[in-house]
Amino acid sequence: MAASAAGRAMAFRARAGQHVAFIRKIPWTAASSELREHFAKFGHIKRCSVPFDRETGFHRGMGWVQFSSQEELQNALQQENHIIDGVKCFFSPMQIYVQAQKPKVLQGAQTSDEEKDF
Amino acid sequence: MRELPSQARLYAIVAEKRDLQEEPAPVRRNNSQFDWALMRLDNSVRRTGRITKGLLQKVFESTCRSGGPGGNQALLLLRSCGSLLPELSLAERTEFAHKIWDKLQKLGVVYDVSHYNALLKVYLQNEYKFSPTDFLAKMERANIHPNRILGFMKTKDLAVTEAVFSALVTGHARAGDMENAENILTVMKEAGIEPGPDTYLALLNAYAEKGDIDHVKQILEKVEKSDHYLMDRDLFQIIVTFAKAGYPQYVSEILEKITYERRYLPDAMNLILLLVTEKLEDTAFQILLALPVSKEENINVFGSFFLRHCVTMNTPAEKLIDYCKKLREAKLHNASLQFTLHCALLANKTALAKAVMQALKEEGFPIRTHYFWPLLAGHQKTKNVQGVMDTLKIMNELGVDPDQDTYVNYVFPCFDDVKSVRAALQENECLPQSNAFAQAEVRSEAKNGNLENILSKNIDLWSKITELLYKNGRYCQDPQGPSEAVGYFLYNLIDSMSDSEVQAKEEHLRQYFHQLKEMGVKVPENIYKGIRNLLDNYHVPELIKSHQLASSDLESTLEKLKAESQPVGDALKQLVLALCAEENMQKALEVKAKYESDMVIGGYAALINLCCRHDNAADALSLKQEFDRLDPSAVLDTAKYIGLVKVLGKHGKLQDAINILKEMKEKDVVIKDATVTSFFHILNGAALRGEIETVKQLHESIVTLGLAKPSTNISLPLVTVHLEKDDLPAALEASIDCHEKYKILPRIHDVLCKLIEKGETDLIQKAMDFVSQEQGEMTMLYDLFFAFLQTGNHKEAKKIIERSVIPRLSTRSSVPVSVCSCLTFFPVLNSCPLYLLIRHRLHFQSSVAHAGGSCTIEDMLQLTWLYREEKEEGCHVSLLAVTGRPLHSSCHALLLSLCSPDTLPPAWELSKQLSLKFVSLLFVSFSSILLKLRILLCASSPDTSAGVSFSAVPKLLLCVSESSGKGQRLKTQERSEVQCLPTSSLAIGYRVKSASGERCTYMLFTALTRGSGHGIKTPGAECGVVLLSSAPGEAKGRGPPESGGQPGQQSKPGYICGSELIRGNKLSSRESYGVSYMLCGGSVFQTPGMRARPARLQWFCDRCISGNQVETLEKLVELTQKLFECDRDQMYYNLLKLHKINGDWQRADGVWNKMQEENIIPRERTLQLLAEILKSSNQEVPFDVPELWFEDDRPSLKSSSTPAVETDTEKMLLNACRLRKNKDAYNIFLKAQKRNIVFSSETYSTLIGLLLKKDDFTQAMQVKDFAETHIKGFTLNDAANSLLIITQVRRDYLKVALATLKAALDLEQIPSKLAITRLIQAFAVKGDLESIEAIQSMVNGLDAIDLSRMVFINNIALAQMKNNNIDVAIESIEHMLTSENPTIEPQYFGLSYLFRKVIEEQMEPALEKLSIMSERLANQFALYKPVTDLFLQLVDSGKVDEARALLERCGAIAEQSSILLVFCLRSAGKPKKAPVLKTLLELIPELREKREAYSSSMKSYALDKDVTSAKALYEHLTAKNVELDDLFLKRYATLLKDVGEPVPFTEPPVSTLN
Repeated sequence: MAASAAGRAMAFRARAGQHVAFIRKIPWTAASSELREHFAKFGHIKRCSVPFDRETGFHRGMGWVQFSSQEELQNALQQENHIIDGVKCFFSPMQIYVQAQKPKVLQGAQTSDEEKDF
Repeated sequence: MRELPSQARLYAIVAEKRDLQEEPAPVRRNNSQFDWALMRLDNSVRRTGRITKGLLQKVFESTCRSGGPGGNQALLLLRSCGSLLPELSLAERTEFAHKIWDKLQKLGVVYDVSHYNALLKVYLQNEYKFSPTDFLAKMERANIHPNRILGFMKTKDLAVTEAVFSALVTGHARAGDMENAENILTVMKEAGIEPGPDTYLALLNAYAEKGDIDHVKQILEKVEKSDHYLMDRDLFQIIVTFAKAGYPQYVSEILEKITYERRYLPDAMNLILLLVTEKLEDTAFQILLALPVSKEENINVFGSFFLRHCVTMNTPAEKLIDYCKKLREAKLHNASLQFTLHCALLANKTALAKAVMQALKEEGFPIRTHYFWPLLAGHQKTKNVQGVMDTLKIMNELGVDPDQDTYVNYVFPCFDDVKSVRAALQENECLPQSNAFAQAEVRSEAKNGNLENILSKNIDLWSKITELLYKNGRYCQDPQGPSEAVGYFLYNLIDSMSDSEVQAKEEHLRQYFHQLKEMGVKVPENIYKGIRNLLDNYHVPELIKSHQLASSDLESTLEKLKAESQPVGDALKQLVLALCAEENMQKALEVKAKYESDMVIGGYAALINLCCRHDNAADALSLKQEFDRLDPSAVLDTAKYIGLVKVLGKHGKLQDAINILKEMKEKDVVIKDATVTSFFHILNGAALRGEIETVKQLHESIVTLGLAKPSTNISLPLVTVHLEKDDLPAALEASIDCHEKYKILPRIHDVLCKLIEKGETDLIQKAMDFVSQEQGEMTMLYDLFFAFLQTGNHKEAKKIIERSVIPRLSTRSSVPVSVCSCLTFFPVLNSCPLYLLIRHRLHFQSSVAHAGGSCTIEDMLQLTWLYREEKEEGCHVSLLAVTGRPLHSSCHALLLSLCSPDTLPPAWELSKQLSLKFVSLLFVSFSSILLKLRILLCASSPDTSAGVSFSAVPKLLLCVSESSGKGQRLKTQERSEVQCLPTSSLAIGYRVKSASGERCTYMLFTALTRGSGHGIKTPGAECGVVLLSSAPGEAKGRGPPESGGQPGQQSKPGYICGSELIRGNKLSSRESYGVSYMLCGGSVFQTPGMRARPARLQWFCDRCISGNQVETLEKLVELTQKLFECDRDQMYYNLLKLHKINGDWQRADGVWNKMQEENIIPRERTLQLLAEILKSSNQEVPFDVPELWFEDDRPSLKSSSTPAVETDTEKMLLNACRLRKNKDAYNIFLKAQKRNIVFSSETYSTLIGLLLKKDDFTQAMQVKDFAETHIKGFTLNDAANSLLIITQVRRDYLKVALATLKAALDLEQIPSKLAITRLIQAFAVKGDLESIEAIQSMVNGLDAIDLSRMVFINNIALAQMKNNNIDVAIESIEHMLTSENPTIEPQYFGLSYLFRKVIEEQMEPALEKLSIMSERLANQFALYKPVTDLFLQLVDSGKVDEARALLERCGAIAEQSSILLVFCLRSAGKPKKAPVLKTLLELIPELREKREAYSSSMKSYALDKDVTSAKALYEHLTAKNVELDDLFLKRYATLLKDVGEPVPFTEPPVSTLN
């Protein structure tokens, strides 16, 4: 709990490789507890984090969930759509992302505002 | 002329429309910045019809940053400031335009008439009040002549057009004279001009402004009755007028008239935004609700743009909330309040946010803590303590307790220390009841290491804090209990200390831990481990020992108490708990038995749990019963219930387990998500044990009791249990059963895989039918595809993909997609104008009109198809338009898709001129047997001269029988029509029989009888009888058809029939796709082809990756190669991911090769990943990643794999080039050549350029030869070619140089000015006039070279003179100078080069004649430039006497000071020019006092160390009292010091000397 939000993400990264999933496009209304609530049905969640940007007070639409076993991660993978707060989130296991985790999502989120109009 | 502005507006609109068509492309293609800006703005306009302020601001700023913005950029920006900004008020827009105008002007943009026009348009659009005369005056001041729009403003005699009348209508109306306004219409008619929509619109707007709804309605009706048509856009204008004039009540009446064509949606949105900007949000909302939007999907977010803009425009909160609610009720936006809240938070609008959250709360939505963070973050930035407090108060009001994160991240940073936070909170009465604040306090302090002080002084205090945390009820509300809070506290505390600190305070810590132990403080296992690790790291292992908490001596305490007859309840509980913690079940049970009467609820609970953990079902159950007896209302915690269910289920006590579940429901036990997970595990465990009944019953209880939702996950075990037993039918049944009950299909993939493995075709069929029916064909195809892949049945998988892959013609999704797919289908359409029209969604008629006669058949088809797609009229029209034209074969499939019973007549018309091939296709495409018959009849009728002969009939019949065999049923109407067709059928039968023999007859019979099975009774039977009687042999051979006309044999699958048809007719592959597709799909183009579904593909990829199924994934990637819209890079990326996990660089390398074969352009991340794999296996990376270090677009990226050694060599070579080390570079090249390494073209060009610069001509040519023989189509770049030309000239290879020049120009290269000049000069000296003229014609018009015309004039003259054509040369020069319209102004007519060459080459006769010419020009024409140039050249070449003589003859030379001074300046730049300047100053002494002359001279003297001349000049100037500048003095001083002479003045500081 002491670790900052960013630190928590780092912790995930450091220990990545096992049973961690990366979730994108999390709606702004949801935070880690909502994420936990959603993914708990697939298995026991060891850790769950949605880092917030302290400058803005919003999170960046992405988060990490660590399951306690590969099987549980598989369970989550089985489900095609993950809908949190009525929004479809993108879910992918995190094995390769260990180094290549650049938050490109940020820019995308800004430009896509116009598209969201409809 | 009061109407002037409005007239101008009309013209502005006209002009604007024209502009859009006239100027579509940016003029400066090379300016990427501009292209970018244009693209962004253009995209925005095209997509939405508007530009956001932010976007425009961004483009504007980046334009300013880019330095010198071009006129085009300015124009683009200015144009964007008008109606394209509906989100800004009119005044703001104009202000923005002015800002841009001024700023760009400052940045050096020169405005021309287009800019003024743009500004004017913006003014008109923004209703900005300005004075036209002032505007014109402003333009005239800027020396700009008005055109177009402005021209109309100036001129008085306007042409009498509709626009003028419309303006008059508006004018009268504005003046309140409606009568006259109406009269204008009559006047117009009298003038022979029919009032058009514009006039009516003017009138309508006039009435709307007056709120006269009756008249508006009347006119609208009138327009409807006329042949005019008001577009939605026009009606929107009337709405705006009504709303603005204060008559919102009439808006709905106009809204009724709106057709809501989709293409006007952007207009409608802009209207809404505009109304919001004008504070007419109610009207805006009314329109929003009226817009046609599909409300089927679950996830609707329509209206976001409206809400966002309302937030920006500060619409009152109550209104906004009301809109949100209505949007939700209308199912337009299912998260409207949340969205509005988001906007409010983004804009930091606290009051609105509060109101919206209140509304959310009332609606039963949760208000989450983090909703407040943006507000707090905003206050935190400005250290606004009051703001933070206010926000906390709001949280308090809304009943949201700030959590630890809130305090630590957003509240504390605003304060100096934690204490002041507490004080402030107390003061504002928002100190929370929960423990969050205290925890946050401690957390923050521990984090900052602030406890250190306290610790060093007083351990007791520290302990007290802990005790408080642990025991105080306020802090114990946390569900995890106090132990967690304390645990984290300890962890943080120790973590924040350095190891030396810990070591130093070891004793303190020991005491502290001891105290904790005394207090009975316990810490959760995981945190304890964490702390232990920390202490381990700090090398204080002793501390760990002291920390371990003992438990065993409790028993003796207990016994002691018992012996003393004291109450033992507490101690007993402690003991039981301790034993439970030690997992000592035996002992615990013994203790329980011993002290049974003293047992309390808590003890039982722990014991039950212990037994469950130890799989002791019997004891657990009996303990539970005892527990219930002790207190029937007592509730265990959730985990213990789960434990019970699990253990009971496992031991076959199913009913007991279900009872526990029921109890859970009754006692309303909290069901967390973890609970649901546990349910899954219980079920899954049972499934793995194969206990079907347990799984079923428990699942059903859980679901029916509502303890868990019937999700896919929780239902998996239902299928698993059967799969475990290999009972596939049951597994499938279970999955299907789930779908019927809960709309989920658990483990269908696994079931399918097993089925395939076992070869259970029937079951597969059953499964597929089910999926297809319930979830669509595409899902089914994917399921099957994945299952085949998974089970290694690659061939089958391939079949699925191949037979289903087809560029999609028909699609239910948006048009762009279909257009794209259509473009793949008809590449020819790519360039056609009609396609563009369609893309812009122009109306059909207008499209056709635009295309005129030039439109091709493909265009028409394309259009037709688009119309069909959009379910609009026009299909028929275009079909008819198609008829009568020769038809391209690729249109067949498309045509087929268009043919429906309704469009039969035109389709039939078409088919008349079509080939048999087409008719066959047409034939199968009809689902209606009736239509088939009709076509057959026509096709076989003798008067059809078309190419359909009777020989075709068998094929047609085959189709009939096949399609009718597929169980198509006739509609009632068709049936009755067929009833009336017996004679025709008979006729066909006879005709067919006579023409094609018996086999066909039989087929027709089969077809008809089959038809009769589907409702055609009479004709079928009749025909059957007739035909049978005439074809007995056939009938016998096949056996008589069964009564009732049931199909005699199973029909072959449609696609086989289709493929036969294809083979037989040799259809093109595209058509065969079409046919086979139609056939297997049943009806034409109703089922989509298999196309990429990224989510499903990714799902399977992820599965393969996590299951490490390399081959399967490889196969998937291979098979999806041709899948429509498949993201190939993504597929390969997945494959690489897997290879990376396995560290398999060989396969990764293979992937790299495959990607090239497939011609995939990999994304950067793919290349990076590949490079990582190769690097980590110590392999060389055959491409550049990720940053390109020298020049980009190097072909090595795309070319076949180059080993890294080559790249390295290439880098070395380029490095050498950069350092200008020509020898090194050449040696590297030689080495590489030996090893046959080939570099990129650019590298060779660079190397050759360097070698040429260093005059290593031979070596350069060697490199060039090598490059040319090793790189196909190798050419040097511009720079290298220019250098080559110069070198060739230097070596006197003039013809070769000319060829080089020509080749370069052919490649559209731009050779340097120097290279061309050198070449021309060389030819001139040779007298080769022809070659010079050849060059002149080559470079003619190539402004980029920037070649002076004088180069040609001088050299042509020189060449002529070399050929002894002196007089011709002179005459031509004289003519050029003296003609009335000189091509070159005399002051730029520099002949110096000619003079110098003539002098240098000692061409005396020529020099003499030139001299005479120059003097004549000076004396007779007052052209002094030639004579001055000649004089200077004489001086320059040391012919002082001749120069003096010339000067005497022509004294005006001395007055040409500008020419003379330029000469001085130029000469001073070259060495050894001191004598020349000296002579010049002697010849023309008055030059000496000119600054340019004396400073140039001093520069030259200094350069040539001519002290005497310098001294003379200095003395002359000081004598004349000329004020000398520092530079002059410095030069002089340096010169004097150099020769050791004293400096007679104070030397200026060094810095002035450059």
